[in-house]
Amino acid sequence: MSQLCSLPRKILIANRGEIACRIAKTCRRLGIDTVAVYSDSDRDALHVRRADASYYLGADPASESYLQIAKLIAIAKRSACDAVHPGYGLLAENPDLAQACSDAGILFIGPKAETIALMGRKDLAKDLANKANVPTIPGFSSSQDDSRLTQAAKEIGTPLLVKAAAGGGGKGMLRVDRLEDFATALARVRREAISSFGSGDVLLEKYIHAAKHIEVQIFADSYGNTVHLFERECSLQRRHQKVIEEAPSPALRPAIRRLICEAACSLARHCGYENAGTVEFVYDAATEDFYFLEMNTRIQVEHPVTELITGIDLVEWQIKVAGGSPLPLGQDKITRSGHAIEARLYCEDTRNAFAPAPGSIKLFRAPPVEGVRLDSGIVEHGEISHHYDPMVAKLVVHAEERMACIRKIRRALLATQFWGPANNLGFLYDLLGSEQFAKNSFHTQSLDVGWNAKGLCDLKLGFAAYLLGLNTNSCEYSGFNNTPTALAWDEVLSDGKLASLRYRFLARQTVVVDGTEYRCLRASLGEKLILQRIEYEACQCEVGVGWEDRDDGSVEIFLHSPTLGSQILAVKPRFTRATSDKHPASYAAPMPGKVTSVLVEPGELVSKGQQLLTFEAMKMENTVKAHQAGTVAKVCVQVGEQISKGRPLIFVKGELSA
Amino acid sequence: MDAIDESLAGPKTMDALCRQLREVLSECVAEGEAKYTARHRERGKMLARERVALLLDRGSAFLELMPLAGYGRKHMTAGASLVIGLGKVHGIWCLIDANIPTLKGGALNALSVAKSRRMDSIARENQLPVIYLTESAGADLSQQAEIFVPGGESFREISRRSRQGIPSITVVFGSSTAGGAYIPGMSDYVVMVAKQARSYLAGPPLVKMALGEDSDDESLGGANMHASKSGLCDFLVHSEREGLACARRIMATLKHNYQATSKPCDNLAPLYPASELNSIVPTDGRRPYDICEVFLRLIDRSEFFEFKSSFGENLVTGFASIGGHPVGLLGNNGVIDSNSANKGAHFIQLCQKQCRPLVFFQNVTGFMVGRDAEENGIIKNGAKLINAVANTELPCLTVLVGNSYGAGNYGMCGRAYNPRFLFAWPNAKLAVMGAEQLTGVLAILQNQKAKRGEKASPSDAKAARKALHAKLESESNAIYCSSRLWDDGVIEPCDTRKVLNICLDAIAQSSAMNAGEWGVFRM
Repeated sequence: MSQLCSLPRKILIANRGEIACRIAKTCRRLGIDTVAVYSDSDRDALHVRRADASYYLGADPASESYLQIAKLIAIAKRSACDAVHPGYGLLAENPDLAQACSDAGILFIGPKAETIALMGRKDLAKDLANKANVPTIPGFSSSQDDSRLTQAAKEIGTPLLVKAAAGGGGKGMLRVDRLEDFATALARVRREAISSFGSGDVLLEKYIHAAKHIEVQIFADSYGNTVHLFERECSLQRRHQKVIEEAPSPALRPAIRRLICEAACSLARHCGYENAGTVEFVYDAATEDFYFLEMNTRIQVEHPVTELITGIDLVEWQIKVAGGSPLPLGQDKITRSGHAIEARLYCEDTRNAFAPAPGSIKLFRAPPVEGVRLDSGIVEHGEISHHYDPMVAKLVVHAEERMACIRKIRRALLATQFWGPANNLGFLYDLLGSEQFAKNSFHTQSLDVGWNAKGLCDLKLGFAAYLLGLNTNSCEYSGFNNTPTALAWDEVLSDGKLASLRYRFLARQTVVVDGTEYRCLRASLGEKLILQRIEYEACQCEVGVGWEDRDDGSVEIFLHSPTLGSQILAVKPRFTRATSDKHPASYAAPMPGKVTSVLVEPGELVSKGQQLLTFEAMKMENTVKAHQAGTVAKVCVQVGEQISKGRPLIFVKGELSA
Repeated sequence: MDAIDESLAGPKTMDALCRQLREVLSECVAEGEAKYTARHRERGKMLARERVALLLDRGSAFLELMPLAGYGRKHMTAGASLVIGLGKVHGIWCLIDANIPTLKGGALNALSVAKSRRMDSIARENQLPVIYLTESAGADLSQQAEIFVPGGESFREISRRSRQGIPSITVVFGSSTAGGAYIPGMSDYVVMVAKQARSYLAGPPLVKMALGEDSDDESLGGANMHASKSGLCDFLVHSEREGLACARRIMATLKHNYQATSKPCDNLAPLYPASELNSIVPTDGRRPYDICEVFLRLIDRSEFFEFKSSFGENLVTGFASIGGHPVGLLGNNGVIDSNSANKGAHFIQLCQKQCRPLVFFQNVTGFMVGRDAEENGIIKNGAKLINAVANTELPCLTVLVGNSYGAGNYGMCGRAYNPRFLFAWPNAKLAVMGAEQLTGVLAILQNQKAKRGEKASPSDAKAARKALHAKLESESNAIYCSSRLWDDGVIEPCDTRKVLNICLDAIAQSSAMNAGEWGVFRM
């Protein structure tokens, strides 16, 4: 009973999105009240609705809301919370929050501030690993002097990585393949490190080719007990962020698994770790060597795969351990069964370097597949704001063995209805169905060096579904044409492919697209989607289709099919904008963000391809380039200005083809 | 005597007859020999039916009318060189009348005239807008006797439909000369494709013969000339596609569209912030500024569809919406000359036909003066504008956004012309003329007096001028004027969109709430 008494009564969840919902769920089960916090655009977010009470934090930029430690502590006090759960990201690994909690007499659900600070410094963490006899990657971090760093770079040899000492999440890191490039890389990482982390300190590391990412979930209590909950493999990453995670890792022999898990525990013991933590390793599958990478002092995004194979609720353990309870199970009682895979659904453009694609999600429906866990920050619809991470949801499945697990998650991905901005559903589906994934031959750079998804959608079918959808609501004679006249045509873009499709309606429900006849057998109107059963050639399929007319005259078509997956097509504008318009050649913001630099001045001559302006969106720097030569007529924005999508940035008067 | 097609004789099953019909139809829709269509395409031009296909809404039906015209008839062409049919453009059923330029240069024969006349009666009886896709060599002169007399009717029909508020839109893709010039000439809206369109009553050879004048197609009747000088062209475009897009955009401005739906939608905000107005608009009335800069900060999504953009440029006219209400905008860039007065009158008539309220933005120093202006009939042309403003039944709103001097105030719907609401910006100046001009005139008159020997000391005259200047300056001040109720209030530029939106809401409500024909019967 004493264990129960030590549980907090009310927890402030200092986070947003799916993890805030996830934490609230466990709290509810444990009978703990929850308090949510929100920024302006999160006012109606799911995580707010899932909590018992909610408090306003501040404006949308995280720096004005979710990163406001003083405000969080004030809210915790005002709402009589006795504990704070930081989730992941945001302030989760900021020792100041842990410290502020402890100063305010509020329980921080996580390790001690000192531990967070220690592990937050990669150089110190590495020293610690060395002390704990955990292998580390050959590297250099003992000086910030340029000449000594250059000397060390020579000793380590290429390829090598230059990393910000205080970095993480793939930010502030560059690979150097030729020593000549070292100086430039060093300068750039320093710059990024200063702007992102406030410290220009860097470290060097040997680069392991075709490395896999293996991490061990550990847990420690305040009584000196440390256990591991086995490993996860997260080798599939783009932009140094994970997209697919699984447990257990198919790459490890049992003997190696024992070694790596024990190494993780040893490190945790050495730093007097408490609560949940993840020890990340770089794994060289060829040599079976593993090297300590870093330790994450928080719950991980991918924790559900561990939960599914162990049956343990990690958030529950976090709360209990933070409350002073000993670990609920000893190492010998922790077992695993089956296989689990998690796929992260992001709003991002998989064809365009995975650039975030914020926007409005009109429809998002979880798959009704048994054994599928969906951790999501939205229900049915919501907004993916450019201020925050563009992750929509995590699909997690469990099955007896890996191949069954793969089949199941692909089935779940197909059944996920998504109508909204560009997303990686099709990409995930393809990736999970690839031979490389089946053989587990992916490594952490696989996606960056280029992995081409086949793309799911049959472009003709998709366009036909749209055309038939157009007419679903119309009268019987739509598309009728009593003379065999010129076919209508449109240019359709999908998966980076542009196709010119000629079409002709034979009847309202029948259209011929490029020689193939598509017939709509039945159609029903969903709230946002028209669901159709389409027959063509010898096939039949169910297709959900929705579309939006864009300002430039193009049409964005959202398709969803249980057999073909989700896809976005763009029908190019049939007409260019009339030149009689008053707007000179304008460069509008392609997405919302903040102007970081303006590189031209009014009156300046620019050449095609010249950089005009840079802006930061979704934590990435984007460049607006001149698409034709001309004279800058006007600059409409200033550095530091927040820009909304479509806001004119710069006008360039082109050399008119008179 | 026409040949009788053997295959048309004898009894057949309905299926066979339908098959035969299809075969005949496919012959009829051939648009001329391959060498002509190829040559046409080489010039970057589209075939008639391609133009029609692109003009129509995606997925729209197309009921081609009289496609068999001329089939099997001597001296006639397939479809009588015309594609005529019923289809939807921007959601509105309309008739499309496209020349087939690849059949004898699109020359019209006797049957073409008959087909057009039939189309005219369909348009009239069913009140359908007509879109002409024009490119024709004109009348087939070998048949002139049969064409000449009845041919005049189509021009009369365009005009009579216009009176009823049924617009005709003409996109000129190529030659549209002599009689054919009256198709754009009579149309409510004319779009011309640069470097392709050509419209004149007589071509260079005939002009040379009649007048001894040298000329070429482009300068005599090209799209650029008509857009900037004659005013025959309202919308100059640079490609065929753009021309079709422009016709679609015109269709979007028709009352059919906005009367059907009254959807207040999101994201109507202008792309440019209204807060910039204070720095864009100079408070010194002598400094010019582009009224479009004001428009772009007041109208929905900054979408301005300009009418006659290169003609009479001192008066900017165009279509837009404010808070979802469609409006016609008229705004000055200084003085009104003959072309701008004519353009304004034309534009007001178009808006009147489409029940589109008008919003006037006055920054006007008056009507143009001087010998040239007088010779060009500035009084007469200004009178047309005043006539249009005086007689329009449309709700009008007026905002004084700068100078409001002289008869310009009248032509731009000043207080005396009864706009529903009239507001002024703080920088507005309202007077018979600018203080500078008035004192200048006074000085000239004083000098003349002095020459005639009438006494007045120079210093007295100067003092009098100075006093007058000051008096005029203060009397034309916005607050002075507003205190005398010459407007409905002085508003800040950044509030203008909201103010106009409220007025338009109120106006829309008044017209929506038609009280019916009777008063309340007490029962």
